[in-house]
Amino acid sequence: MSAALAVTPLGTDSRLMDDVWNVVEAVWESLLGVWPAPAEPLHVGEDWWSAVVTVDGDWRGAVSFSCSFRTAQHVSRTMLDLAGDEPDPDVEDVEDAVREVVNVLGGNVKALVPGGRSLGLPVLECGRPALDGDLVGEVHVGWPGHVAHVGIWHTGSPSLHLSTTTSSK
Amino acid sequence: MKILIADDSRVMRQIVVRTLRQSGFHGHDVVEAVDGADALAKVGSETPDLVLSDWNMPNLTGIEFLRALRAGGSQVPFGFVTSEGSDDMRQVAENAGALFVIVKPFTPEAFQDALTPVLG
Repeated sequence: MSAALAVTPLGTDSRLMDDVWNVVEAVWESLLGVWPAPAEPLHVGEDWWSAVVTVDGDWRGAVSFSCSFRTAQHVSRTMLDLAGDEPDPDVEDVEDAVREVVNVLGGNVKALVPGGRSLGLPVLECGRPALDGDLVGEVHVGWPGHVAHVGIWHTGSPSLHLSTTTSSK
Repeated sequence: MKILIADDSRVMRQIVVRTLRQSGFHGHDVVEAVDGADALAKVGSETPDLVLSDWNMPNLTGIEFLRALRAGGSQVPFGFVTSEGSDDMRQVAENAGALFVIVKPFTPEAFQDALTPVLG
């Protein structure tokens, strides 16, 4: 991956999206037991699930994690360590797992952005996240049989913001 | 020993329990709490020997939970298992009386390093 975001007004190219990808790799390895690869650019479908967590501080934004219901089920089965012949988890556990993925992503992204002071509680939405802000970075994540989208959103703060020229891999 | 795991995510509580086993910490009783307020109540009713707590929880956050414990006189060994691991938060945690901060995503080795001094 190449760096995708520039941090202004610090004036130098940030390796933020490289760092975000490193976070994605660590989260996937730890929670899902796989090493992800960059995927082809994805369109977040209207029937996809999106979990969003806000980051507040000098930089104000949000992190989103979006995937199909089938992938959400796979994520929850893996996180719960269910064997192949065990029934699918309750929808509450699927929701919980998707929220927890974005919670872990968000906590680590918060540590990457300047002046990140607080993390919100993750919320679940249907389709593309409905955020009053700009998608300033994204990674398209692939692993065997599944894809997901991770978005970095800028939602405020006039004094310090992240701008982007490209996204993803 | 009895370990209280506080996290508003049931899935993450399961992962913490599994990681305890993978880290070699077998045979301990585990009590779960769904948020900081529930955890504070269960420290009173269950008298755990160790608390592993998330930071970002509804009702009572992890740091509020820890401060309430210490304000109430409890000196139960306490560690955070949280997605937030900045230097500032580690300092806040240490100042409030936490023994360690394990950052999500974690490995069994991180649990071994943090918990061996407490659990042996």
